[in-house]
Amino acid sequence: MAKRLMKFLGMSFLVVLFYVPGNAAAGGLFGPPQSLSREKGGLNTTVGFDYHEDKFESDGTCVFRQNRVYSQVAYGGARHLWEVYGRIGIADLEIEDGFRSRINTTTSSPNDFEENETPFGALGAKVFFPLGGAFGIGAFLQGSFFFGDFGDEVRGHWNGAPYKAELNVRDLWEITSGISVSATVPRGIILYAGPFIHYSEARVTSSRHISGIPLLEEDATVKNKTEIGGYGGISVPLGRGFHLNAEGRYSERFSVGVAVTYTYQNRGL
Amino acid sequence: MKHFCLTVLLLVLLAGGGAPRADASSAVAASASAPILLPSSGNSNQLEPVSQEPTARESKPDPGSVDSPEMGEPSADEPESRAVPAKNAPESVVPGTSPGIPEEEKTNGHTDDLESDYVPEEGGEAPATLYDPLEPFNRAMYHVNDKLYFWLLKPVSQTYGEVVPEPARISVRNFFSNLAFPVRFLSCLLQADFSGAVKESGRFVVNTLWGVGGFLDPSSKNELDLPKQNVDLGQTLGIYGLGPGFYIVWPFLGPSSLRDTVDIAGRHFLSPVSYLNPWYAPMTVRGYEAVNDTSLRIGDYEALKGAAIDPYLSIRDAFAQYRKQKIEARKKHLTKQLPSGEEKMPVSVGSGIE
Repeated sequence: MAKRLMKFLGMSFLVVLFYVPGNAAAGGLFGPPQSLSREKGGLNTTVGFDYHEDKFESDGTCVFRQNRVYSQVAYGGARHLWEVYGRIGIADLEIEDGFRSRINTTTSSPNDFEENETPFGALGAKVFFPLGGAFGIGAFLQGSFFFGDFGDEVRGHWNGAPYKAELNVRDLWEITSGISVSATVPRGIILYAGPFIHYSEARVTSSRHISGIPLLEEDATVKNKTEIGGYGGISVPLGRGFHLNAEGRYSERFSVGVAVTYTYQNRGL
Repeated sequence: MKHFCLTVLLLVLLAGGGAPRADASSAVAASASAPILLPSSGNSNQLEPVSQEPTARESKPDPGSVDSPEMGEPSADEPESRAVPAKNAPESVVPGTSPGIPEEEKTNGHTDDLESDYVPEEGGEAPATLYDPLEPFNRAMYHVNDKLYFWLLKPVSQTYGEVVPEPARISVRNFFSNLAFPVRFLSCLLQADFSGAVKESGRFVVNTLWGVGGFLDPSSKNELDLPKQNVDLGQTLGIYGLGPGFYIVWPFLGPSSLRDTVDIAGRHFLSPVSYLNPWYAPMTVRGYEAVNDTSLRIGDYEALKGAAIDPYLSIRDAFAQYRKQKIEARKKHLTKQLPSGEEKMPVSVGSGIE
C-alpha cells in the first residue's frame, strides 16, 4: 500500500512539475506540506515576511535581494490533505552592484539598483500524504508574478560625457515546486524539509545603453542561475488558532522567512 | 472642497440649534410622572408620546438602517395599502398627522381620547421622542429618501445581490466596518473606555492582518471573540449628557438628530474613504457601500414601513428609541466597569431624552 502510495505521489509530483502551466514562484514561504486548516477543512490566513536572495545571470551575474511582505488566504481540505492558496503583497528589489561599471572609462552612481514597494501576487497548491501518525510527505507548486515594474536611475560619466539612464526590471515572475517530509513532534510542532526546484526570470530594459555596465548595455532577459535548492522549517502552534512558521531556503544564496497563520474555526465571515 | 462645504454646513447647523433640544429633552423627562400633553392641533412638531412597545425596527436594531445616517429610511412601495388598520395603530400616533387616516377621525374627538388615555406608568420612564421643529422639511426629505430607496437603491441592490454571492457581500461589509475603526476607537477613548479601545485596536489589527485587509472577520464571536464596540460619536455626546436636539432627516443620509449629526461629520473626517482622489471617488465608494449594505437587508425597511400608519412618525420614534437605548446600554456598560460607588460620567443618567 505504501509503495503504491509513493508511486502515486511521485507521478503526481512529476505531472504537477512539468505539465501544469502557469507562473509560480517563491513569493513567500513554502510552509509545511500539510495544510494548517482545521481537521474538517476550512480557511486559514497568513501574514508573512520573506527575505529572498537569488543570483541572476545574463551577461554576467548579479544578486537580486528582495524583502517581501504578504497576506495569504488558503483553503485546506479535510484531514490536511490538500490546500490551495493565494497571496498578495509588496516587495522591494535591490540588485547588488547593478550599476557598477566594469571599465575605467565609465563611472556610475549609485552602484546598486534599488526600488521599493512593488505589488505582487502568488498562487499555490499543496498536497499531503500522511505516513503514520507523525510523519508525512507532501508536494507543492507555487508561482508569483510582480505586477509593477521595478525602476531606478543612475548617473555618471561615459567616455568623459555625463549621462543619466533609467533601468527597469519588468515582468519578474517565479515558479517553484518542491517536495518535503514532515514530522509532527510533541506540542504540535511540525518540522519539515525537502528539495525544491525554482525558475525565475525578468526582462531588463534601459532608457540608454551604456558600455561597461552589464545591465545597461542592452535589453535582456535575466534568469536565476541555480534552479535547485533545499528548504526546511518549523511550524509552532501559538494558541487560539495561531501558528508561527519560520523557514530557511538555500539555492546559491540563503533566504529566510517568517509567517503567522490563523486557522479559522468557522466560515470566517 | 465639496466636503469642506458640507462640513461647514453641518457645523453651522450644529452650532445654531442646540437650545431647542434641551427644552425638548427636559420637558419629556420632567413629564415622566405626569401625563404628557399632546398638541391639540395634531402637529407632530410638538412633543408627543410614543408607544413604549418596541417597533419592528426596534426589536431588530440595525445600525445600518434606522440609526445609521446612511440612506436607510426609505419606504414601502405602496405605503397606504400596507398601512395597518387604524384600530391596530399604536395609541401614540397622532391621528391628525397621519395621511393614511380618514379625515373624519381627525375631527371626531379621537385625539382628545388619546390624550386622556395616555398615562405613563407610575415611576415609568418617559417614552422617547424627538423634538421636530423641521417636520415639513424632514417629511420632504423622508419622501426624497423613500423614493431614492425604491426607485434607485433597492433595484440596484437587488440586482447586485443576485450577481454577487452573499458571502462576498458580507466580506465587503466586513471590509467597510473595519475601515470605520477610527470612529469606534476615538469614541471609546472619549468615553474613557480604555478596555474597549484596546479591544477595538486588537480587532482592527487582527482583522487587517489575518482578515485580509478586513474582508474576513477572525475577531468575530465564533473565532477570537473580540467583539466590535457598539459606539459612535453621537452616543458619546449622549453619554456626556448632551441631548439629541431636534430631529432632522438628511437627504441621502437618512434620519438623524442634531447631536447625531456630529457622528456623521465625525465619520466623514475619520474615514479613509473621504481622502480618496479624485473628488468623486469617496462618493462612488460610499455609494457602493450603501448598495452592498442594502443588499443584505432588503425587506427590513419595507416591514417597518408597512406596519406603520405614518411611516415618518414610526421611523422618527424608532430612531429616538433606538438611540436612547443605545446610550443607556452604554452607560450601564461603563458603570459596570467602575469600582463600586464611583461616578464615571460627569452627568447623571436619564438627564433627558437620548
